[in-house]
Amino acid sequence: MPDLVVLLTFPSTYYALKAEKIVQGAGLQGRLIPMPREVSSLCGLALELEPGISGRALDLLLAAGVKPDKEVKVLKDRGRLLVIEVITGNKTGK
Amino acid sequence: MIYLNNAATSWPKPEGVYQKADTSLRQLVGSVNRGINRGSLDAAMAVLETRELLASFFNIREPENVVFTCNATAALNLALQGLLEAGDHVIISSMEHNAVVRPLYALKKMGVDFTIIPCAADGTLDPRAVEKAVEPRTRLICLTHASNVTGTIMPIFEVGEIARRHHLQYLVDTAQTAGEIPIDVEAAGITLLAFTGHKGLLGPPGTGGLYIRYPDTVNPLIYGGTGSNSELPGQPEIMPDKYESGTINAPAIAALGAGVKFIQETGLEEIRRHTLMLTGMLLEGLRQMPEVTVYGPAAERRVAVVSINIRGIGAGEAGAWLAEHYEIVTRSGLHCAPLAHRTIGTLATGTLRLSPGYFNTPAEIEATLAAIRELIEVVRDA
Repeated sequence: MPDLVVLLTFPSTYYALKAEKIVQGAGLQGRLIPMPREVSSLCGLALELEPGISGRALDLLLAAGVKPDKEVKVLKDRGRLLVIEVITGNKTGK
Repeated sequence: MIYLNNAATSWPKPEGVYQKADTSLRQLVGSVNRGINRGSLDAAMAVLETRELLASFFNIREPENVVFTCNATAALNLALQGLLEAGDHVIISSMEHNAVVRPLYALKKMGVDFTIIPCAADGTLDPRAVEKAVEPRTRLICLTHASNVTGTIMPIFEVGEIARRHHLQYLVDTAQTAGEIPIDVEAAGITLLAFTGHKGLLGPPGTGGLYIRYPDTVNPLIYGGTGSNSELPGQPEIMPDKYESGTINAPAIAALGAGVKFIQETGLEEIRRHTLMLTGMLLEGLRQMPEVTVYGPAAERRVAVVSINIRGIGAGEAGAWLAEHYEIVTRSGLHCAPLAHRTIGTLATGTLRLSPGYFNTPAEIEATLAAIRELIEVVRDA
């Protein structure tokens, strides 16, 4: 069964790591994964979040001054990723 | 052995620093920004944590604006060469290290001018003389926080006020103070702060860095791969990648973090109380020896750096005698700071420098004083 997840991309590894630290520090599930080229993560990493917590995670990140480049909805199927929607709303600073 | 050369590099390091260096080198499998295996991410996280620790330590609001370099000299070069352009004017003190003076001499050939503010014979700087030297083309005030020759603590807050008043960039070299004296970039108005990791911060050699408040004003010195924005031919502007091309020394930076943690756990006040006590003992003992000339101010106005000369014997010979007979490690010569030696009148002779650290004991200072007394007797009888 494919899983729906939200990926956040960042302008550099520094911000990606900082994001993981902030999200995990708040007790939320989030982990860094390698990004497929079509999503074009500038640092090659993305923070994977369950859709149910992505809003809360974004709020935490923005409050800490960490602005994701992109918010992307993705289907994960047996290790492969399928991009469903690229969200570039004001929430992510874009 | 009695190690009194902490102004050159601190020794020993806290146990946690050795352990962190060892485990990091063994377990951080991968390179920062260049791989997404857990080891690479852990290495990157260790670097991030040290960056954040240092930012907190210096009261820096933007940890990403702390960039790692291989030492304070590289940090000072980045600040000076990255910032200054032909036509700019810089103000420095006459106690600066060659890490500042030599880059400025090189920049002078490219049209950068600088004024050296003379300090008193004990290394003290009058901030009013700094303000008088400000010109319309002045871009930067560059000041050591404490002299590596006399230990004299400089008035960084007063000079910071002058920089603020005249809207100048303000570079402070903390090579001799970070880890012994509190440093607050906000309170002092510092826009560029250079530090070394292997002295008072108790980390390994090959670590240091620069805080850059306004990255738009400082060009990188090194261009290349950052592991980010790889499709762009130009250097990324994102911090800290802009200044950190090439593979970073993650194990050493992780160990530097352990050094900063040790200082935070021990308390900067406790460290200063101890080094001040040792410096006071050393100064008091030396001043009872008429054959010894002691340079610099009273203990509370200096860091734990004491320069002396002994009548009848050169600084180099004295240092060699102490090492040979009592395994006392000191440093003699000009300490890469000829301007400072000219200021205190020792350019021709140099000095013998004794620099205690947090891990020295009063008994070691007493033993050193006894050894110097014996050396004076040996010289007298020769």
